[in-house]
Amino acid sequence: MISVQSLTKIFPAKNNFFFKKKSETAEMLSRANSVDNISFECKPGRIFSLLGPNGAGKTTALRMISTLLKPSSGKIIVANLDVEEFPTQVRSKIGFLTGSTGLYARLTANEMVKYFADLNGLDDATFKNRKNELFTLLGVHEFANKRIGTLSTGMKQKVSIVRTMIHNPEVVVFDEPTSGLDVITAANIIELIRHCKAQNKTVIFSSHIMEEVNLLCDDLAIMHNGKILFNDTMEKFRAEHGSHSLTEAFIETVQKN
Amino acid sequence: MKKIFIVYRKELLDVLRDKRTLRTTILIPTLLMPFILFVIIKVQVLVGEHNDQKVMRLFWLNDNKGNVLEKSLQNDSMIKIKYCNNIQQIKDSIKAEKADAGLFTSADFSSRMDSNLTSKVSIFYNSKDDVFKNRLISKLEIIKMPLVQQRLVRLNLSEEKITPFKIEEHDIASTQEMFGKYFGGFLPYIFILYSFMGCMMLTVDLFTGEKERGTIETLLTSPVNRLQIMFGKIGVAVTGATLTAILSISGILLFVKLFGSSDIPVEMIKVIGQIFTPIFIAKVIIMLLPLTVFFSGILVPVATYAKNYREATSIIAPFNFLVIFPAMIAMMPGVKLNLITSLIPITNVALCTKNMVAGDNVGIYWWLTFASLLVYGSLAVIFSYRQFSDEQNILR
Repeated sequence: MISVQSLTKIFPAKNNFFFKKKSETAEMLSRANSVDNISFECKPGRIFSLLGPNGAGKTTALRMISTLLKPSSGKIIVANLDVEEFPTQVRSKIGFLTGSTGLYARLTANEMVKYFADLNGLDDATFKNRKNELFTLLGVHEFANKRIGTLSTGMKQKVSIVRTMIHNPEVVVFDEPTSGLDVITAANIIELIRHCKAQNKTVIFSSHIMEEVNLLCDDLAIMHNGKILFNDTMEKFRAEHGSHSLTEAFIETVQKN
Repeated sequence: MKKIFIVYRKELLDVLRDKRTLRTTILIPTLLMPFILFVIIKVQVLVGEHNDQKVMRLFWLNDNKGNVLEKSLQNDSMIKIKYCNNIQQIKDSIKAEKADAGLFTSADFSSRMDSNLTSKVSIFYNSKDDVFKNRLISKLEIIKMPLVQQRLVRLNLSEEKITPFKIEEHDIASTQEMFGKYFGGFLPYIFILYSFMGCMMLTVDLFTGEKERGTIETLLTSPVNRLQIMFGKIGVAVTGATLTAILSISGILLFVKLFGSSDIPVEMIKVIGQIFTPIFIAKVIIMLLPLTVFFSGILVPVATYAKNYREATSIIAPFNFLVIFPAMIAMMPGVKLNLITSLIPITNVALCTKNMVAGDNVGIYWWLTFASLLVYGSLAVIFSYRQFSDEQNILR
């Protein structure tokens, strides 16, 4: 489970390595990515979506949940652990996946997965079983010993999925996971999200594509300028906007605020 | 500790597969630099030999014809005398490289010689290339010796009577000390520079590269804290930089051993063998370790801040001077290893090595150097950690 309570993030402006002074541009940028007093809850076995235009603060919120950023105020509980008090333990409970694969091009798929299994403290037997299971599921065996730099985007994304899931995390965070991917590769990700739901994991994902959200999510939060404009079930969102298409409904919600 | 080792092992494997890093940290210091040095030495020797065998074009004033100097120099097969009418013509010819040197004696040269008086001999040369000046002076000294003897006979004087004292030089410096004087400053300059370059390449690849390739988020969301990540990465940078420094010296020594026998005196090669003992090498490596940690410590904040390789190298560029300058201080004459210099980072390593090369006992100063570098290295790492933990830097 993820519980976000009155979460705020303000970035202090910084613009130069040698001279750290405030500039208007830096101020503007920091405001664009900040998060302003948001609260929501993601439950196990359900898919929660953070929907919003670019710069809404979705990535900032997900980064705070994943312990990459520290909140300016508020509280985040992940798998019953406070992220500020137990960041390392929280990280062992989460899997984090973005659209950019985030892989080491000079390592092989095997080496990459082993590295993250080691960092997660997996023993050899658990690692082998888990790796075998995921490699078979995604068809990674055939290119497991090839350097990642030589793989296609689709193959890389599969390796990235294995890397994210190797330690069987309770909570999975997807930050715009299909961004920049072709339809077939994106379908793998969608399948993974569904698979996580079926395994009763807590899933949160950010997107700005309404169709994707409609296809997957159970609960929805719409973000704009760091604030949450809507936070309820997907069913309720559909019901509220009746005859409108969901994309129109999303645009209407954002423009109204 | 285990997680630091996991990060270290992965990063080491990663950099060992990077051709650019391998080229800079292994190939260039081991092969290219010694090869360049070898070529420079070889070219210098060849140019020297060529100049020694070249016939000197000596311009001579027509007014000075017929004196004893002219006759003696005319008999020298390595000198070809050309005649001209005025001094300006000599100067112009040397400038235009039509002459190698010029000589002018006073009009009363011969009469003053006969009267046992001192005559003036002016030589003209271009100090850009003073090989011919030195050759001409040597020839004149040879001509002067019998003239002095003749004059002494004529005056019925013995050489002793006009020589109040003679200076006898006794240089007690060993060949090793001489070697230390001339090359002791150069060697640490080379390996300090290489260890910095190696450290720079690796630190940028390990920290900025992680950001540029978009893997930093993935790593930071795994259950390893930032201190462990930083130590693992710094460990690789230190290993690589130390290796680069060792390889740069080994490369030079290898070339000396393989190709130096024809150009370097046997005694010198023997001295090189005496200097580079296992204890000497161990002492240098032990000094290098905290030095490379210090280098890493000052480079990590930049590498963490920079968005890409290009930005990192442009910020780091001025840092090169901060390394070169203290290393060069050790090459300056009169700069000695003492309580103050042994506490100045980089300078202390250079001076310690220079003294060790010369065979001096560096004793307490080696320990001071090592201890001070440990302190500077630790402070630099603490500073690095603060910058690496700054979320605005790392996710910039």
